Amino acid sequence: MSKKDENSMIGYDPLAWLHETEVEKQTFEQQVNTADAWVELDDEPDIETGENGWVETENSDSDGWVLNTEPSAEIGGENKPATAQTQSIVLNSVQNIQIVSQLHAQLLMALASGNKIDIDASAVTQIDTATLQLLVVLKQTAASQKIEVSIDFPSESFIKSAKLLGLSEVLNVEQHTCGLF
Amino acid sequence: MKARIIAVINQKGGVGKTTTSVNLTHALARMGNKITVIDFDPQSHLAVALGVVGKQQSGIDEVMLGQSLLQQQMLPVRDNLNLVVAGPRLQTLEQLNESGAHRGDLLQKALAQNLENQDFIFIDCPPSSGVLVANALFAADELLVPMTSDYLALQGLSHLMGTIKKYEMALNKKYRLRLVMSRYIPSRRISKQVLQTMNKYFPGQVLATPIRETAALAECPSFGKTIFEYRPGWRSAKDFELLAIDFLAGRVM
Ligand SMILES: Nc1ncnc2c1ncn2[C@@H]1O[C@H](COP(=O)(O)OP(=O)(O)OP(=O)(O)O)[C@@H](O)[C@H]1O
Ligand SMILES: [Mg+2]
Repeated sequence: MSKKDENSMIGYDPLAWLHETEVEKQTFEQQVNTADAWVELDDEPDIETGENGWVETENSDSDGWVLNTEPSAEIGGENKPATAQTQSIVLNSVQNIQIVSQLHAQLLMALASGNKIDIDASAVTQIDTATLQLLVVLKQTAASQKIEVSIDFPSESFIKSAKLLGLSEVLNVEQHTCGLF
Repeated sequence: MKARIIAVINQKGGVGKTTTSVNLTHALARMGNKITVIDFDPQSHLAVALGVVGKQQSGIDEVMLGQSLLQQQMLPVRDNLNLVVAGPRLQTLEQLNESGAHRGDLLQKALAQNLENQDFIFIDCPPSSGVLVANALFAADELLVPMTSDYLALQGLSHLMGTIKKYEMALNKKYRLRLVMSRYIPSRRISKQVLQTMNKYFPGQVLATPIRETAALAECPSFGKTIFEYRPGWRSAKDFELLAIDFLAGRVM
């Protein structure tokens, strides 16, 4: 954090995050490990999870899926860093229902510990409906928690799939950076 | 030897990208380095500042569209200094189009040709973060970031660093980053504090000579002259001569 001295004409220091990123990487790795642990714990009966490890409810607006942050808050809570930070997640080339619970766990941890989530979608060659829906739910959940989510460098395939499902606008992947990679 | 490719970049407008591109490249050329400078801004200010005002002349636009080679578009504008103008179609390359023709690697491909005996290629970027800047970030190995000494410039720099880090991750490369203190007003207290802040976050990366704000530098573009032609020997000419040495020798604050 920036120390203020009396004579300083610079109040809020916009570059302070540059000095925080090193710490951030470490904590994020720890967080991801905790997330893996959570995936294994995931069939504990007291949480009402659907088959992909996420909670199913009747009246949710996205086909019954919600991104429930409760479990991560319980397990990851102690590790939650004091400072808010940017979490980065890189999507795999093939993102489908087989690995959606992995991604779900990652996103939960990111939600629990960051004030911004950057998702690198440049490598995506295949992405399925389940994953795109998860991302939509992430966007909505994050927005309600004032967390910014940006999907960076979306590949042509990512954009095509998102468009097909009419989700490109919600996911905000229509900017000029599309298809650059 | 491969030419070093340097993008002069800052998405904030009016910070001195073009002034730096014009006068630093001329200073380097006067020292005997072979330089090509690309006007990568559809506004064509760089060409104007170097005295080239042909309206419909093609340039880097045609090279990026694969319709000519970079060598064919190089205009010798001073000894050791070639200019590649923006060209009328650069603007359309900046705009998003549905066909997917907007690509990030067009400039990189264009510069991958064998550029015989060029030491440095400079790219004067536009004040945006669109497709053109993405192309510059793909193509460049080094970034030169002119910064003014006001508070909002720090804010802008924070944004720029975020962008640069994303590209470094996505392209899996690490830029050599240098900052230039531009339009510096030594008598202002905020100027010194912005400079201190820059040194705190970019130790060893701020070039040693600040370019001071002077009337002569503001005047010379309208005559199509560099500072070495417009006011040789004046203090702004000296600033840029020193900056050229900083750049070559890696002299930092
Ligand atoms: N050191 C200086 N002293 C005086 N005037 C300067 C100085 N540097 C730049 N200027 C003037 O400030 C204005 C903006 O500078 P310049 O065009 O170099 O910035 P830029 O970053 O290229 O702008 P843009 O973002 O529009 O491309 C110009 O009118 C230029 O002449
Ligand atoms: Mg300019």
